[in-house]
Amino acid sequence: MTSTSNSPSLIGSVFERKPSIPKPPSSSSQSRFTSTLNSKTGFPPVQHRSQKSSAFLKNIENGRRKPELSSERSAQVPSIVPQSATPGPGPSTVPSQNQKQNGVGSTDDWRSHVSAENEARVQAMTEEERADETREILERFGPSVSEILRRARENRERNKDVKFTSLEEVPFTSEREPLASPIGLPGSQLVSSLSRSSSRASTRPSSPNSPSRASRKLRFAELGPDQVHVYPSAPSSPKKALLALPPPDEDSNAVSLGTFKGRMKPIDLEDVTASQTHVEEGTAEIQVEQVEEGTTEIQVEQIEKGTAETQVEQVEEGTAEYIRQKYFPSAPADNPDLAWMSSSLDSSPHEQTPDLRFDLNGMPIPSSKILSLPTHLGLHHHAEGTRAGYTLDDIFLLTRSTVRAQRAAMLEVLVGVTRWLRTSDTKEDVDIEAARKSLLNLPNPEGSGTPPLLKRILFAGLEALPERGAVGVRAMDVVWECIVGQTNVTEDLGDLEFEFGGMEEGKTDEGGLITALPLADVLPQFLSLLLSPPDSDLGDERLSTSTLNQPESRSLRTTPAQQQILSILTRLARYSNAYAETIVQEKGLIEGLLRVFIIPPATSTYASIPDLATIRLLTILASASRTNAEALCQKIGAGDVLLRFVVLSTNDNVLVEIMLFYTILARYGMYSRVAADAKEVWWKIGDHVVALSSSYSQSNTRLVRAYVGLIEAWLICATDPHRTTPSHELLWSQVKSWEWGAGLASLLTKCSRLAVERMDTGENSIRIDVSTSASLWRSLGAYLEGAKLNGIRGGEEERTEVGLVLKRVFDSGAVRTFRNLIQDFKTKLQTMGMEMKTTVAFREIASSASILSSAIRLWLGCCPPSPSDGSLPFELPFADISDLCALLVRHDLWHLDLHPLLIRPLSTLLVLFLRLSPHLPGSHPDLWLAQAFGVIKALRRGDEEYALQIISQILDILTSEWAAQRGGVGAPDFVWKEKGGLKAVLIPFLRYEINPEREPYTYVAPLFPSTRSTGMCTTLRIPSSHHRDVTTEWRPLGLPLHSDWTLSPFNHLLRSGSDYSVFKQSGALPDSWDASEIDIVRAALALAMVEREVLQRFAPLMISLVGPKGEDIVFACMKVFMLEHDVGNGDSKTHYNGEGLQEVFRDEVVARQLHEILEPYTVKALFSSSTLYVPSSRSSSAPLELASLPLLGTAVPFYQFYTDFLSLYDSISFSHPIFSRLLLPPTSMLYAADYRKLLWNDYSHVLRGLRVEVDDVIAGAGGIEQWLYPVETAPDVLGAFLRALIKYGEGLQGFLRLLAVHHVAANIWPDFYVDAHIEEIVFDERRNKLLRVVIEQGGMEVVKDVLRYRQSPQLRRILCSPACFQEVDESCKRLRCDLIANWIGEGTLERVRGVFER
Amino acid sequence: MNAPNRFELYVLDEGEAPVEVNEDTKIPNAATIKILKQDHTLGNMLRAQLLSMPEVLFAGYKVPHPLHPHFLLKIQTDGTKAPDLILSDACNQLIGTLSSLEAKFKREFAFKETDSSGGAGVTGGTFATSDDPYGTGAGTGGGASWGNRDDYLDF
Repeated sequence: MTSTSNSPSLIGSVFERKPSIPKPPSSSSQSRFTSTLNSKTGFPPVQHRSQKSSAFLKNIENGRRKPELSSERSAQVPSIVPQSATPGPGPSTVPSQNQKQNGVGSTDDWRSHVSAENEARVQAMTEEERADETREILERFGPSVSEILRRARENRERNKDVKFTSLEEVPFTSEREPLASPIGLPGSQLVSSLSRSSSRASTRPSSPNSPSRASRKLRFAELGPDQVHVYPSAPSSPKKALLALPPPDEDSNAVSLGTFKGRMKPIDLEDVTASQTHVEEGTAEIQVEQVEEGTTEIQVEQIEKGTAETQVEQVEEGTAEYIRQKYFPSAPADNPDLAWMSSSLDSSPHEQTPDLRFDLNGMPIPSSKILSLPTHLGLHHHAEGTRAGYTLDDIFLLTRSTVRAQRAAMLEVLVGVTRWLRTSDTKEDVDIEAARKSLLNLPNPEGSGTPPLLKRILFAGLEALPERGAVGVRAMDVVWECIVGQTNVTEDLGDLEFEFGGMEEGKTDEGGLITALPLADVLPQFLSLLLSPPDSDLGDERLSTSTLNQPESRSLRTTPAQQQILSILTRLARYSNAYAETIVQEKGLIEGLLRVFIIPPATSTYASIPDLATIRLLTILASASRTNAEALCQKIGAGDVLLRFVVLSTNDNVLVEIMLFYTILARYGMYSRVAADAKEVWWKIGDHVVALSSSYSQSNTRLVRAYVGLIEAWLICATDPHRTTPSHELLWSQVKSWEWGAGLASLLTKCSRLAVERMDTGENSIRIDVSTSASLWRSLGAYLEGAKLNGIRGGEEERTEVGLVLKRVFDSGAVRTFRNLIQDFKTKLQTMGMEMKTTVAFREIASSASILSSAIRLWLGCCPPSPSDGSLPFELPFADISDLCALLVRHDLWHLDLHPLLIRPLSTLLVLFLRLSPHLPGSHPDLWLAQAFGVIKALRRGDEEYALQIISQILDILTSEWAAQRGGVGAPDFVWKEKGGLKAVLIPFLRYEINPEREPYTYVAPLFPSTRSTGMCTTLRIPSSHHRDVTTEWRPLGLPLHSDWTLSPFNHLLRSGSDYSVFKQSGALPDSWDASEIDIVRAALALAMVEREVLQRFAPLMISLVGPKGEDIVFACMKVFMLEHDVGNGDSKTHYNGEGLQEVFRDEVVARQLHEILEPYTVKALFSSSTLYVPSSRSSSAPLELASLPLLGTAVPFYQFYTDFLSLYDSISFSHPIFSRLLLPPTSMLYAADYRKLLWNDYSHVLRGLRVEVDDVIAGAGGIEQWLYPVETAPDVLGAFLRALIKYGEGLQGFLRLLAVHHVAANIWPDFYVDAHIEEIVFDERRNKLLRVVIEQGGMEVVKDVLRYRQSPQLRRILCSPACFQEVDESCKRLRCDLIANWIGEGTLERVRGVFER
Repeated sequence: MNAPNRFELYVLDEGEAPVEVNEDTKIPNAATIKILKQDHTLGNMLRAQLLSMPEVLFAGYKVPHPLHPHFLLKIQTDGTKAPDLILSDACNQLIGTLSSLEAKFKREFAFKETDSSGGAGVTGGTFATSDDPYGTGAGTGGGASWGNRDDYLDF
């Protein structure tokens, strides 16, 4: 049977099996199978296909029935010994393997022996004895001992398994081969073969009776165990795998640390071996290692004993060499790993990099001291040689140390380094200062790996931030120092900041640290740190020494780290609106802040003070955006967290902060219900304020101002309840019934009485007093404005009521105060031109402006809505204000980089003056227009609302009647009437120019909030001013307006395809708007003409500052010519009559307007205005290129625009006269030679048709001198001049001829030069050649012109044709004749002598 | 593919006039002439020829759209001749120039066939002198010597 089945043939499987065949008992399915086979039915049992024994199974069974074969194979098992016999670093070698296997066996023996002994003893005991023993055990170990024992036994059983399996893996891990080498690869080393498992399996307690595990393993193929090999794939126990380092290669230059003298080496000392083996035999294997350690100790002792007596003292005791010789005689003498032990004295001071080294305070150590500092300062631990201190790399390395103390210390050093980097100390060492600068300016080009130093420091801090204890605290210090910093405090405007609406401080980000901050990761960390600060358990020591905040305003509940987080968040919130929104949206952060800083703990019995800085942070966050304010309303409003402090707190500072917060919310029209909800409280506060206002002090005025500001904001909310969110939270009737107006009036009386009393004490205090009153005026103004809308009969009653008070307050003394104020203002403005950067003076200017505008607002509020008999509400120094505003508009502070927040009051003053102006005696609509054109240029971001008002007022005035009265100002009547007049045509463009669509949409609230802004504004903060850089692409930039804003519709027409064009904005153009391209051009030109006319007549000083510049006008006219496609949906399609679209410039009206608008810039006009030729300082830059930047951006050069312009001229112009004139400006000598080359060389064929007289040339301030000097030197342009002269001869006329002759002649004759280097340039190859070509090739006229042409700088005036061709004085004539004779010859001279003789 | 048929670039449609003349009403002696199924080849040549004529004050052309096979030629004269007449003069001159060029070319080829050794150099020289972009060489008379540029352009 066995012999037949030996061959794996199919026939073998057909044999009927006998029931007596031994069955594999382990498999449950097979046992079921056998039971069915044993059924007594006599029929072959029904078998499912899956249960039939397959050929596979049969093979296995056959294999099982061949014991001789399997034994034979198992005999061939490759031994493990040779593989692991090579000494490896791990403890797993053959003896250990064997010992372990032995150990397993011995453990079992020992245990069974003991248990047998125990059982025998128990058997021998009597019943009583057994009960006693049980009781004793229970007494000693407690009642649960049986459970414990049971568990212990289970554990023991399990441990056995675990132990054994883990031990099995040992040989694998000692393997040197690379893991996962594929089977069959040559050189791959066999790890083990499965056959080993047969021997191991016998030790396995779980399956001791399994017939053959090896056979089961080999189920899938008929394989002998020697054919199955296990190669190291992944170690089953990663722990051990980590330990298993391969031994070093023979030829590698690894250095031995000595040899492990543990158990692995055969031990020489017999007594130790005896004890060791004894111990080993009796212990479980885990313990073996412990014993090993013990034995090594013993061993070392033995060695010591043995060697100490015999060793000869050769080296000094205690040195490394001594130790080596004594204890490690086998170790090499010069082990480089032990180099640190050798004394530094003998190590030669090798050359070191002159790195900056820092001490433990983060201050750099001067190079003079580096070598001399003593070692006890702790600066030498990482020193190279004898140098003290730490380099930056050391510090960064050590901030990742695993030793926490080291890490904390180094983080503290980083704090110092940051502080040092930020402070510039001139007293310091020159080298160190230079190093500081170089570190700060460390360039960070893309691609270079190292970020700037400050960023590295910041991230080193961030990395350690989540740590607890000292490391976390120091890390927080680092982050705080980087983001906020003690030396980095921005200028604090105090409450003024919120009065002016606040500003994003975008540009103050030094080194990009804030932008580098990964907010998404950092904020959650901050939150968790806030809730459980790292220094919460440091005790009170740090709390008392902290100097982060004012001691009195800090509440003791918070730790310094929490305060630092607060100030970091404040800094981020100030930085930008986007950051502020991120902070508010961070989940749980605001709640956390409230819980930590504001909400008092439930246990405290007294009314605690909330943290002021936190309320300030909330205020800043709310001022950043409307969404923030909404979120804060929800988070704070629900529980009225702050209101309780208003009710309970007696601290005025808290009150002020909370009122500021409410003011900011009310400016968005939010949370105004608190005024109604807690009206008694506000009454009480009002009384308190009145009481305070009678005595002057800094804090009192602050409270008064905050209160009054809050009332003002609520008044505006109440004025139009639809604008608040949610609407109708605060109604005018409520305001009326609470008598806020009367309260304000009485407060005003008190304040001004106080001011009068204090009049003599000093100027500065008056200003503060007055500015307190000014906020009162504003509130009253808001009250009167509201009354005008909501009160009975336009609020007449209220007006008279307040008017009575005001008449008393604004007496002659007040007017005098105003005069002084204005005078002071003016002098400051005038001196400001020189020392601009003194912000203190500028702050005073700003506050004066704010006072004045408040007064004007109140005055306007007192004016009845309908013009009355002309009685003024009260007296103000109107003339002075008017003068001041004129001065202000002309002032060049608008072009300077000043604090944008402080400019706001100035522009607001101008706007209010513009509102005041029509009410003044002697006002005139045209005067008002002039003022409006001036003021609108001064407006800045945040003044959009004002600008829109002004622009629509301006366009309202410009009706056809207005134009008819003034002779039609450059446009026929129909321009003013058609399509709804100027306003309807232009307003969409101008509105969009003022307030272009921004992404994200922003609406900055104006300085004096209005009902409109209350409902609409998205933010209160103005952006910092650095955004206005030149873009690569055209887009409207909004305020401040460009000087050619009146012509800005051209840009939209030219760029109608751009996304930023008004044509692409849905809703920007009303449905009824149907102006054509020509209409728009006409209207815009008319508006520009109006601006110029009005400014010229009423404000001639302003025109150069406010009006468009010459180059702007020229460029705008060029744009008109470039408009050739119809853009609007107007009627110019009807002009289509087979010759293409009608060009805009062909329109008669447009042509005339263009002519008129260019008129002042022609040479004729220049001559008539100033007849003297004054050599102006020539600006090297090309003005048109600058003027074109807003439209073309940096991506398209003006040259390209000019090329298109010229080719358009070439193809369609019909030599249009204005078109021709516009070709010339870029060819003046102010511009690069390429422009001249383009016109004179590449487009030389247009020259013949280009007829421009000298008078008509559009020149800048420099006149035609710009074309003549400096003399052209570029050879190709000169060649083009000469070619044009020769080719066209008489065809070249007017200005072009003058130009060509001038440059050619100037390059021939040396008498054109004023400067004294005539002798240097007298003879020149080029002059010779030029002259020769002119004489030989030029026509008669050309020769004559060139020979006779003269132009002398001494004449102080450019000579034009024909004057420049007439007289040649004698000396000049002689010189020229000589030159001709010298260069060409006497014969030629004779030929041309007639030219000179005439 | 949306590409227009190639033949549409040069084949006139049914009833399409090859030339349209529009007198300009606002500018004296000016006309805009639309020439269909032609491109820069003819436009540039005509413009150059017109500019070389002393009666012409302005001549320019443009192709309004690169996919529309026509161009607009704008001519303004000094009044001695109407723009359409001057255009036909220019065309005649151009035809003359081109046929003489053709004749010269053929003659040079004939020379080359008979005398293969020196023909190449002669042909090159002929073409060099007639390579005047705007055809002004004949008009001014100084053109021949003008071609010798290196006397002053060498600096």
